Amino acid sequence: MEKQQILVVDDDREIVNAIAINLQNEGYEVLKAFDGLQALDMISTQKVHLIILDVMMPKLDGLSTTLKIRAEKNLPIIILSAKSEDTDKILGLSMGADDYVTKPFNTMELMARVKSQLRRYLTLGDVNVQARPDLLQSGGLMFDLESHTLEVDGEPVRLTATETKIVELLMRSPGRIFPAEEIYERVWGETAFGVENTVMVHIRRIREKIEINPKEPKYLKVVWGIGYKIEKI
Amino acid sequence: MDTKSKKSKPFTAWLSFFLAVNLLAVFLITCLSAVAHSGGNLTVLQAPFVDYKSTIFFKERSGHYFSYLYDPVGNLFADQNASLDYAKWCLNEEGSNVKYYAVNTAAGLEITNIAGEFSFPEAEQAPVWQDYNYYWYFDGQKLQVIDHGQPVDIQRRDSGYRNILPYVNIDTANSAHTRVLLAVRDTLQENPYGHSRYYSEKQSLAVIGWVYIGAGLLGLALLVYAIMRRRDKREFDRRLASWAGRLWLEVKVLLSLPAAFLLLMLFSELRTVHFDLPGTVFMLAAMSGLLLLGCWWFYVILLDLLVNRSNFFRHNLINSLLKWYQRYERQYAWQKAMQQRAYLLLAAESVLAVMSVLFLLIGNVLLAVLLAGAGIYLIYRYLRYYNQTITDLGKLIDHIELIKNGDMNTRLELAAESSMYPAAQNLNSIQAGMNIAVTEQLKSERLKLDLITNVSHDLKTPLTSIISYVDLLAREEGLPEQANDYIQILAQKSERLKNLIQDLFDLSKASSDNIALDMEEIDLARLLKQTLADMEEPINASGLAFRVNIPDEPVNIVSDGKKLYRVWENLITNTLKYSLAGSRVFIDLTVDTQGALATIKNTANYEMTFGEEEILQRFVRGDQSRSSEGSGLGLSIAQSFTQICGGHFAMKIDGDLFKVELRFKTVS
Repeated sequence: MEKQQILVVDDDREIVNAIAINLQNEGYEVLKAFDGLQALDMISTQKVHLIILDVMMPKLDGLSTTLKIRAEKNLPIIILSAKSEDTDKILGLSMGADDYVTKPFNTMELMARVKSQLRRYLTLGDVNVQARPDLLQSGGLMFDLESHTLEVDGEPVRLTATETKIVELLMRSPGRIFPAEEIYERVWGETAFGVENTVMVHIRRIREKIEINPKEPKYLKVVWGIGYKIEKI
Repeated sequence: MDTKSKKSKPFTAWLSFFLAVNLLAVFLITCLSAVAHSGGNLTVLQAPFVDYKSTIFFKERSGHYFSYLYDPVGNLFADQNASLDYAKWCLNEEGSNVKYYAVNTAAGLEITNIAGEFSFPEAEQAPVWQDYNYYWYFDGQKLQVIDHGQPVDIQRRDSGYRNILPYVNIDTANSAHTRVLLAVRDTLQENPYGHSRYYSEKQSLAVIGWVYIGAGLLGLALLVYAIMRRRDKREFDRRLASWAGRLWLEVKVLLSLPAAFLLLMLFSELRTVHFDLPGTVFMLAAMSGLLLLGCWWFYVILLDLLVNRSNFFRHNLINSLLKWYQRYERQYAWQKAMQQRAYLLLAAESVLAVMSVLFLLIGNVLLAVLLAGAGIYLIYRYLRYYNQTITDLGKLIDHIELIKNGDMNTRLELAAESSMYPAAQNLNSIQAGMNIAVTEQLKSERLKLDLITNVSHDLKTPLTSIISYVDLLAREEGLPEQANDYIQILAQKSERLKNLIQDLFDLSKASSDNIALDMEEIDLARLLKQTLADMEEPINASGLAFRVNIPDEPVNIVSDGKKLYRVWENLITNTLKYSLAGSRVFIDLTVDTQGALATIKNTANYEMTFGEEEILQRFVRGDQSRSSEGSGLGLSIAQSFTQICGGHFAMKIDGDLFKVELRFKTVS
């Protein structure tokens, strides 16, 4: 199998080099660019499988670059930015990025995100979810209603029976917020009383299994003071 | 080159207009009165430029002389001798320019300047003295004018005599014994012994003609100039109007009455001017001047009316008095001015009423009505002004409301004479001042936010490299033992720096009110339970006993759940860090009439030698040693976030007891 090429774009050369070394250690080919225009050039001339893109860059900033790439190509884009506000993240993702990592980042986490994006892009990119009524999907999460199994970016995740039931319940209505009592009553089948802790413990465990960074979950989120939900992506 | 200053241009243009009109008016008035005098015969206008003897003036004078001669001898007036003397005196003034002979054979009267014996010629082709070829001739039956032997048909209109004949009052029935002959010399000469009117009229007529032609031409030229410079002229018109505008309406009316009277009088006078050149010309000029004076007065009044329009009527004595009073009352406080105004109105009305009744009693109805009218007008003005004051007061109140609602740009425009004007101006100043202050504040907030964002970015970028390369170093194999220890320290400290920067960023944004909030209805009880469940692991690991008392029913508040989670996370983390080992931590949530009250209490593991205020100051750390992890901003962030989320944050230190209280308004 040919080596996968990853394009790293940042106006700070040292950051590009550090990411490149880590990626090469993981066995990827690395292309480097230092501004948005250079990045667009490289994408048009070379086969690129994934882009790691900074936001604040000279000439063409990361968000505009993302828009231009998305107009032509479907390859995964991970935005890397010093802007850590929720609004910045939402903006980046709505521009067409697949993931948003804030600076300073954890190397292991970035590598995990690269791997998961590539896996999803290369193995599942052509799966037609709409044609599979037995599949529940949200972003990289895919729940098989027949076999009751969950895959994250193509990787199967081992869940206990209760966890599977919770995930199935939440994934049937992605984006809907479920209070702890409802989850408890529908999963355990018992009257709920003082169950917040029980449900929270399970949610935390599921998060540790499906999220790359459980502290900043992408899929399974706590809506503080209301309940829990799986994000609709 | 025109070296005149700009200011004098309008005056020059106007002056030329003024002179042009005056000159042309005098010219036209003279011509018209001459034509009118000659019975509509336009040839009179050519008189200065033709032979004097063919002019109406010569014929008229001859007619007068003839009637002087005829009247005493033909009509036999009562004061006959005086008439005779007057005729003799008049005609002798002409000297050798005339030869005359008037006789009444019945009355035995005779006057003549012919020396020696003279017999009246009975035939028409009468005795012709040499050089005296023009004569008037009355033979007792018929008046004839003979010019160089030819009888003139004096009844023809174009003969120039028809208009004169009424003066020559011939009584043919009683004149059978009367013979009159008046002969005029061909070349008129100056009389060294008297004043020859023929001669002086002949001489002055030519001069007058040229003077009038010159005046007319000059007038036309000036008029053309004034038309060319009509903009400047109009400019001066406006100035005139503004000067005239300063006069009270009453003054203008008073001055206009005699001016109108003068005009009417002069017009009727000019219709019946008796021509006696050259004196008549000066008299005409003087009359025209007076006439023009009146005309110019009305011209200025008209200008005033056209330019100042309604102000023409508004600028009157009563208004000026009222305005003066308005200015006067400004020196008093508003409330006092309002009271004074009412009292003064009452006083003025009383005086006017009493005076009106008095005048009525003594029978002067007109003055009584005028005074009553003035009283009614005063009441009308007072009510109108009162109404305006009330309206403006309302506007002022509305404007205060507008400012309260944050409109900083709309100004309150009131009429300068309004009682509320000073207040409105003050309010506008306050508004402008506030606007500047708010704008400045917004600008500085914006700068602050930019600074925070940029500094945060500039700190994070190098830190990214540090963390990345430390990480690479940590995975390097074959390094000496100490080097690995050093790398470990680097990794920890850079991680702490990262947290510190993030906390600083969050705190700065929160305290500068630049944070985006997601306010919704949430259950505070549930949020507390979720947070505790979320932090179960570190809580269990701490060995502290948590005594949690949270009601089962929901405690609904409106807040930002994510921020509130940060608050509780920080508070619990703080407790875990600084609690006495093995002690108890109390978390309570109660609802009372004032809303929801959440408290967290713990026993400190050190002596708290500082006050509540001090601990909230950034970077003051519980243990003051600054050795442990964390930014020292946890409590500050908790406080700022609580406040921006709509809660109230309070902290109490009592010995070793550390207590934080959060209050929120509940919603049903």
